[in-house]
Amino acid sequence: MSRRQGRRWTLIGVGLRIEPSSFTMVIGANGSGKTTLLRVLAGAWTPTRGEVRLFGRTWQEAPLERIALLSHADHHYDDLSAAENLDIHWKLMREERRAGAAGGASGSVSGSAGNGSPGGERGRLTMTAEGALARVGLWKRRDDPVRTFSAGMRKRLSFARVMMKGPELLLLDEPYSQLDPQGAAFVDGLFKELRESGVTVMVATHQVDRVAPMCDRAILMDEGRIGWEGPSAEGPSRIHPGMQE
Amino acid sequence: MTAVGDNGGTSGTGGTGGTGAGGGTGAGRGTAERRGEGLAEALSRLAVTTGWIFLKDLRLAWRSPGRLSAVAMFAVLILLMFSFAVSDTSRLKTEAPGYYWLAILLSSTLYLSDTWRIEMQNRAMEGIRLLPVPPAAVFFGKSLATMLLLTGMGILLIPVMVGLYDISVRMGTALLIGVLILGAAGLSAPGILYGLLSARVRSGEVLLPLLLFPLEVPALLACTRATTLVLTGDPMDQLPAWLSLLTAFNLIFWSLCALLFGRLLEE
Repeated sequence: MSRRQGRRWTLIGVGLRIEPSSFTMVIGANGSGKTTLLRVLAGAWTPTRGEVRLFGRTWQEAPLERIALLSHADHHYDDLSAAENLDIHWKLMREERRAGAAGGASGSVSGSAGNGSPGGERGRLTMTAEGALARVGLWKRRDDPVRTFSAGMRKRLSFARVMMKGPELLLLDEPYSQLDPQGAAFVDGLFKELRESGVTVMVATHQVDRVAPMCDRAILMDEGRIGWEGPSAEGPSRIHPGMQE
Repeated sequence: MTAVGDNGGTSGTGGTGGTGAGGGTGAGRGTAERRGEGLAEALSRLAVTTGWIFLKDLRLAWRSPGRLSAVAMFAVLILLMFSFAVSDTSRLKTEAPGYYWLAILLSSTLYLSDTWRIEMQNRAMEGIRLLPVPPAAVFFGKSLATMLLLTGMGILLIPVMVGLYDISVRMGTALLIGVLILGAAGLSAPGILYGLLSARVRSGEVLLPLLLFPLEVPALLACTRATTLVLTGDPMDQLPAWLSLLTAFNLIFWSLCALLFGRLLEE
C-alpha cells in the first residue's frame, strides 16, 4: 500500500499484517510515515495505491465503528464543553451501533450512567460519556468549554472519546505527548486494560523504551517504507537515540 | 497489502440493518417485507442522525452568538449601503427585493465559511465522519441548520427593509416568510457543498463566492421575482410559477449535493 500527499510519497509499498489482539509499536523519525500509516488504517486518508483490508473488508467498506484513532488533531469543538463534545459523539455512535446491532453486530453504547467499567464483550470498552469523563479525570471540568483546556487536558478528552467508542482496533498516535506524569501513568494502565480486553492496538511513538515492554511487535518506518519489523524488545536498539523524546 | 484483524470474525457489522420479518407466507413476499423494513429503518436512522448533526450546529451557533450577530449585522449594513447608494426612492422601492436577497446571499457566504472553519479546526468533522456517520446525515443536518439560521436572519431583515425602503407587504408577511424559507433552502444546500470544497483549499473564502454565486443565479432570480410579487401584488398570478421554479431548484440541488457530498467529505 502506498500513499502520496501532494508530490511526495509518504508511504511506499507498505505491506504488513496485524494479528487480532496484538500490540504493535510503530517507531521512526519525524516524517517517516508513522502518522500517515495510522491515519490510512483509521479510514481518515485513502491509500493512493494498493490494498488495505480491515477486519477482512476492503478499505472502502471498513467497519469504522470497530476502529478508533487518537491523533494529533483532537477532533473536539472548542466552543462546546467537554461533556457536550462527548455527548454528540455518544449519540451519533448510539445510532450507528443500533444499525450494527440490527445486522448482528456486537456491542452497543451502554445507556446507563455507568462508571466507565469495561463492557463484557471481547475488545469492548463501552462506556457512557459521563463514565469516560470520570475515567480520564475531567469530571470536574465537564461543563467548561474545551477552548479553556490545556493541551494535556485535551489529550485526556481524546482518550475519553476513543474509550467511549470501545474499538476492537485502537490506533494511537503519540499517546504520551503533552501528558503530565499522572496522565502518562493513566495511559500505561489503559494499555494493560486493553491487553486484558483483547483489543488490537497500534501505537506510533517516540517513547520507545516506555512502550516496548507493553508491545509484542515493532515496526520501524523509514522514509515511508517499513525499514525493519520484529519483536518490540528489539525496537529500542533499532532506533537512533536522537529520535526519542 | 495491509491487513488488520482479518481473521474472519463473525461479529461484523455488514448487515443491512434489517431485523428480519419472520413468518412470511412466501419467500418473495418475506424478502420484500424485510427490504421494506430495512429501508424504513435506514431512513429512520438517517433522520435521527441528521437531527443530531442539526442540533450540534445550532448548539455551536448558540455558543458563539458574536459570530451570528456579525453575519446579521453585515446583512443590515448591505441594505443600509444600498439605501445610501441609490438616491432615487422610487427606484429603491422597486428594487428592494433584489437588495434584500443580495444581502442574504452575501452574508450567507460569511456564515458558510465560518461553519466549515469550525468543522476543520481540530479536524472535528473528521472525528464525526470516522464514528462513522453517513455523509448524507452530515449534509442534511448542516444544510437544515443553515436554512433555519438564514430564515431567521431573513425574518429579522424584513422590518429593516420595510423601514429603510418605505415599502409595504401587500400579500402578507406569512407568504413572504414562505418565499424566504424556499429561498434559504436554495442557498443552504449548494452553500454547504461548496463551503466544504472551499474549506479544503487555501484562500477558500475567496473561492466560495466564485463557485457559489453563478450556481445561485436561478434561485436568486426566482426569490427576487417572488418577493417582488408578494410585496407589490400579483394581478397576473405569476407567483406560483416562480415558487415552482424555486421548489424544482431545491429538489434538484438538495438531491445532487447530497450525492456529491460523501465524495468530498472523504478526504
